[in-house]
Amino acid sequence: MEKDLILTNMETLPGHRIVEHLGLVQGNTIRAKHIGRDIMAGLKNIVGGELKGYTELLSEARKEATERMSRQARELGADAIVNIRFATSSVMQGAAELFAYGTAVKLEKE
Amino acid sequence: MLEVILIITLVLLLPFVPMFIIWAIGAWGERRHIRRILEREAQFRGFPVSNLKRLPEGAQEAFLASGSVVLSADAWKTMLAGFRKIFGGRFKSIEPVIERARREAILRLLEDARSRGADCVHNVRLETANISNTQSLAVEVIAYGTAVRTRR
Repeated sequence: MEKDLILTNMETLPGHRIVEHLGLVQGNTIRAKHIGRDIMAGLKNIVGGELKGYTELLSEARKEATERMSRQARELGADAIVNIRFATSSVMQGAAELFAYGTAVKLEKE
Repeated sequence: MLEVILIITLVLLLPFVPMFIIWAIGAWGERRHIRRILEREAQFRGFPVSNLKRLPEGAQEAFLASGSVVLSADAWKTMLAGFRKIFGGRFKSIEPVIERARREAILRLLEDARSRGADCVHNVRLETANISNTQSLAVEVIAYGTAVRTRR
């Protein structure tokens, strides 16, 4: 059983002291970003509103990126990842890259 | 004579009927969404949210919370935006769509934080990505922040 990593986008953690920086860790995933490919989203596109399928797809993708980042941090023996940032970049026509990055740290209980 | 003119106007207006329906459905959906957003924002009155980087006093546990949404503008709004691109100026039809997406994403972040036992959210960041194709306009907004549980 792998220990749980603490994830935060702040620089400090309550109740812990950061004793060591293990460097930057990151995870990414690339997905097709063009909407309106399937019929439901195509219809929804005409009348407007939330495209639920895409919300799910993208949050799943982001979870995947976070998971890859966490795996990298675990390999370094980290206890937490601090100052996490999410970003989206368009690497090619019709595709979006979702990535997450942060600093892996070792902790000590205060 | 009168009938002929009437029929000609009807035939000329016919292509605009689908556009009118789309406008009506889109406007109804937007009003409903705004109402829902206001209702849910009222539930979070008094729930501290900030984009400050400092941890609050008495913080016990912190974890990452997030919320995201993909929202598209209806075809009518997209068409208006297309005209606007030619003449320049403020994109009044699109602005509320993006604003709704941001508020929805923040609400989902807060709901995520609260359901996991947090009582405030700090260092909130908003990220917007354009995922439109040629015929329509859609944005994805993600809101994320550190949810904090404090001693009470």
